[in-house]
Amino acid sequence: MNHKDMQILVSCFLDDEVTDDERNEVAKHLEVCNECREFIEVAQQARKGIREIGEAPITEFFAYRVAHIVKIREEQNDEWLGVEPLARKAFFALIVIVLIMFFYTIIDINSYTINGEQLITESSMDSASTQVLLQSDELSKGDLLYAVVAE
Amino acid sequence: MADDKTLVKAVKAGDHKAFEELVRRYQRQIANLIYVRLGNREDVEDIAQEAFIKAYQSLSQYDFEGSFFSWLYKITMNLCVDEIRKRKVRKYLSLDFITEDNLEKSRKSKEHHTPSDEALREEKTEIIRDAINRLSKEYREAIILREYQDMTYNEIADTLQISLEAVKTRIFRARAELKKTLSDYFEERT
Repeated sequence: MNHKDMQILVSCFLDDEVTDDERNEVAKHLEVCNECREFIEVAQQARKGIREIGEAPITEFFAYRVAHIVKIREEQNDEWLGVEPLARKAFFALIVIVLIMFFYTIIDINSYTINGEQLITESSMDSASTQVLLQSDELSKGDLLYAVVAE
Repeated sequence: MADDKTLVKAVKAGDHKAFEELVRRYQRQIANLIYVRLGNREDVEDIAQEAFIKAYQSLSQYDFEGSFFSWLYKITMNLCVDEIRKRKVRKYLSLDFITEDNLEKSRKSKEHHTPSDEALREEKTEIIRDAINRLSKEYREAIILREYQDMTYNEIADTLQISLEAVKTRIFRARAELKKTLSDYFEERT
């Protein structure tokens, strides 16, 4: 066994995690090895120091309080879960209504056409705008602009 | 007394009393772990509470592979890491500690300070905690479970889900690191 393996065994010895044979072996080694004796000494002091850190404070009713919080949150969740499907349905219904209104507006705009004759009823028949407006039933923005400028 | 597996199954079936029993069973160990990691008594209960609630909420993910404590341990350690990160951010964001007034108070307090047994004990605790926190995560976990929680090597192997050989090596290395950090301090005090 090399010295590093022996050091690991010394550490196990400190925790009483060795067999009887290993304990005897470590005891013999400690008689001759200063380094390992020092290791044990510091490790024991560190252990004492770690244990002196003390217990953390926990109030008497901690477990009851945690279980109670969990229960309350779960009940609130259950209540919310009852409302959720209704809210979801209402939301989708609203979306459908908005979409219908939107498409209706688009269809309505597209079906609207401008008739040239309607626009120039009060204009004299030989004006430039009349010549343009009477050429077609449906007018582009350019036609209208031209007619307005010419008028 | 019901074992952890039975209690966890009961909790999954909606038994809140079983959950309370699980909390009662591990509250001390979890609180101690948080305390030794964070070193702040005030925050221990809040973080322990958060750990148990988080465990309850994600209990469906617990598949009985390792022990319940091992699973709870991981949740707790992750919360501690989050808390340490938050504290660092808070420390950087708050510049109160460098105001002239605070510096003056700190100077006066040091001047009038006489070391009592209590102060020395607190200093020792701080130094040891600091030395533990300097260890790598693997070594720190192993040494805390051994020295502070007084677990056997088999229990540590089960909690950390590592081999018995790995436990032996990690504990030895943690001790060797602590020896490097603390031997001067212990020499001064003797």
